[in-house]
Amino acid sequence: MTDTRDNYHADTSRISKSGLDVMNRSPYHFWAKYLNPNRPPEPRKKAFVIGSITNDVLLQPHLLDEQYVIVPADAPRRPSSLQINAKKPSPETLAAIEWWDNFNAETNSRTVVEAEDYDRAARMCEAIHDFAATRLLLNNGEAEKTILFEEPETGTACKCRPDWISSDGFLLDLKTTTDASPDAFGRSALSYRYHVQASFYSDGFYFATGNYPKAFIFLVVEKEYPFAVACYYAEPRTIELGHAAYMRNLQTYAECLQTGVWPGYSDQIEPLKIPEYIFKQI
Amino acid sequence: MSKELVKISAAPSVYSTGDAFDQAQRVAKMLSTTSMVPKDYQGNVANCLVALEMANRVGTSPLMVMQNLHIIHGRPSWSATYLIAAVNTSGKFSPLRFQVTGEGDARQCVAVAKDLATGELLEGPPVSIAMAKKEGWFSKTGSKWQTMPDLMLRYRAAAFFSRLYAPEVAMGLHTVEEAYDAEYTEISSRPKPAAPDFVSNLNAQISGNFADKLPDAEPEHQDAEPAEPATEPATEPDLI
Repeated sequence: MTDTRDNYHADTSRISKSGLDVMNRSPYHFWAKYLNPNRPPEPRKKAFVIGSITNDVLLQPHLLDEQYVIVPADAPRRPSSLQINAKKPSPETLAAIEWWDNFNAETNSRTVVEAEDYDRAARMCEAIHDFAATRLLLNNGEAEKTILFEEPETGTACKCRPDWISSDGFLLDLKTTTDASPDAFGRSALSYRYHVQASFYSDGFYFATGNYPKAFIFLVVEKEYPFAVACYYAEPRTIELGHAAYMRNLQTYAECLQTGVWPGYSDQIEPLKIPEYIFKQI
Repeated sequence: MSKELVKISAAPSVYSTGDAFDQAQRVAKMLSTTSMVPKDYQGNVANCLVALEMANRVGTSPLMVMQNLHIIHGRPSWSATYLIAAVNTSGKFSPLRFQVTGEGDARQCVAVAKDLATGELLEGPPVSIAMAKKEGWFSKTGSKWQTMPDLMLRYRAAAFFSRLYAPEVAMGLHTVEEAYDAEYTEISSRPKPAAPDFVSNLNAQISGNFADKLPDAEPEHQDAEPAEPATEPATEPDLI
């Protein structure tokens, strides 16, 4: 199987960091998203598409043509289902339907990107190019290489796919965000569990290669004008924090795999948890 | 190594009184300055002090302890040969012997010795390659279990024997080999990331030498300037 992003996501025999995030919510959610044979197809989220294309514009520009098709700026508006099913569609609607039928036929399995989103991705990449550290960081290395590994303590099969494996021995992940300032990105890191990613990826790289990455770096770009760029690394204590979190998730995962039971939330009546710091303010 | 090796020493602990501690500290300080002691003890007064106390407890010379007590992953650990010698010279047992049977994963070793007081043949717990694999000792990167399995079987069997029948010899410490293996399964299976130093180095390159390192980079201070629209044509065609 070739090492493409789609193949990487399609392999559910190994758990990824996204899978760990879902496990962290509940095993039932994990089962529903990855294992349920009757799971509904997942629509691609806009943020995910923008993230992917930004990655590819920056790191794998040679893949752009085969992966994406851009909706031209002069494309007619997509006809709504109401317009399509109308008894007597207007000539404009008919033209639009035809235009979109032709367009869809040519996309094959490529991801459709709105011109405005592509433009945004290109501008984010420009900003990254202009960032002082970029050339040093992206000087030599490999983009999006799947790493398969077994976590020895739980014996679970895992996978990860760093955006960039530098020949200088560090891993780098590109993040798009609304606010790349240190505090705001720190909060994003906690809610999206980037510390878990830093740890899981670094460990995975170590288990697969025998070398521990020299650092895990986040190259962060804001999604809105002026597309400010910042760069952060995960300190050792942050990696340790992430390690504790992902090991808890992996242990639950190993247990669920063994028992075949994927519990959801508690079936008891639980106390409502208001964030603790609010109580300290009283 | 004397037959009194494991007898409880009459000498007081280096921690017993303030005077004893001061005295031991002076000795430790002196020992730490000699190049005759192994690396873990050179320039490390605290390690030397611990070695002095261990020597005191097992009734042997500090140098003997230092030669055979290694700090592996932060844990003091005996060399396996020391442990075997200590059992052999304890005066309680006949010299340790090893019964090795089986092949492949079933290959196993049992350490045996006679209890000199009763004449009873004592058998330590068996150690097998299958056990080494299950415990994760075998698969560790650079594991001696892969390169010299027979020796590792004997060392581990001796460690098990001594822990069971002569715990006073090892004083609760593991062997060097056990400490290495334990690092894989118990303490942490991952090395500590060295991020800060590495990142400082990258930052130095970004702020200082970075411009010099790139042949096509603009002269100094370019990184401090805001992005100019003039850079667009150079990069745009590559991106699309």
